[in-house]
Amino acid sequence: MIEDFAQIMVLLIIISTAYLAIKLKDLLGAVISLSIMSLLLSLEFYILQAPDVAIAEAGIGAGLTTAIYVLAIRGTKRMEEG
Amino acid sequence: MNKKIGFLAFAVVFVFLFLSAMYMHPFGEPNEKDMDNHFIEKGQNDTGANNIVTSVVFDYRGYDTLGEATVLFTAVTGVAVAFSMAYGKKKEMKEMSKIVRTVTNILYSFIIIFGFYIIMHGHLTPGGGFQGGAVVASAFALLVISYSALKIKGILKKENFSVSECSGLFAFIALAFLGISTAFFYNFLAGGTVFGNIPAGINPGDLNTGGVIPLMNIAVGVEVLSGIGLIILYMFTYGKEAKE
Repeated sequence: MIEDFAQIMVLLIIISTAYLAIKLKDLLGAVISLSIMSLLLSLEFYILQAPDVAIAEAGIGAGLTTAIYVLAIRGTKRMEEG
Repeated sequence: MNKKIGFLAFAVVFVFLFLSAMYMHPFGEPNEKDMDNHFIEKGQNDTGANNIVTSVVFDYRGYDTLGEATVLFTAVTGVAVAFSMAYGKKKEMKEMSKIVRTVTNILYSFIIIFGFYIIMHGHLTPGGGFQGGAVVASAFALLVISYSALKIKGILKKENFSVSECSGLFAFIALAFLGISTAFFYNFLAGGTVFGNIPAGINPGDLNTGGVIPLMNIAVGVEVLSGIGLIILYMFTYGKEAKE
């Protein structure tokens, strides 16, 4: 019961952060929102008893992808145009 | 018009996902259980690794891991070629604030040690070469972002990274070929004297098990950490501005 509730909450936050990542005009904020989504996705993998995938998702999705996006934003502009 | 097409595509994908979620079989009850049961019952005895996922990834299905490692190698090569040909003048990147640099100084060594722990214990606990390598590379990314590239150049060098990446992949393929007298990716060390102990039943785990699996974990870990570190270094030091 409590597990189902936790899963529903995590999935709802995942959907809302993914929506934020699309809608935000501030690209740095969008990247942070995307990394929160990856972190919660790895939590969801852990709840579903797949710790191997959870570690991969936390390391690559939340850590490395964020770093590479931040590098790209520092090379270009922070605000989305149009 | 464009919005209508977008809404139609969204509706089609949503209906498809909804229907496939309706007809999904229940969680934790696979349709065909023979292969799963074989791995769960015989996996520990065959390979000596306590972590059955790692024994599948590096022993039973070693070909897939070889493919993944090759894909990563190709991707790194592509990034290196693309960013070497970037044009325009170089953009100066400032280092980040003192708060970020202090936190980085405290944290980065612990992140690297944790990554190597994941690599070394890949055959006992969740994780392995790919995951641990990614964790170590994220420590490199933290260093590169919080300090400027010029200061970091003395520690993290592209030449060292490319050498260690190639040697990691080469060691992985060589370990796979060493068991070729029986089969490609045969675990020839299991049951022997080096890394050969085969644990029985439920046990907390021993580093001296798993046959070639820990060696392959180390090789893949070295390849992944230096490959991703190479990508980060190339993207940072060749991050040039377009011509005005």
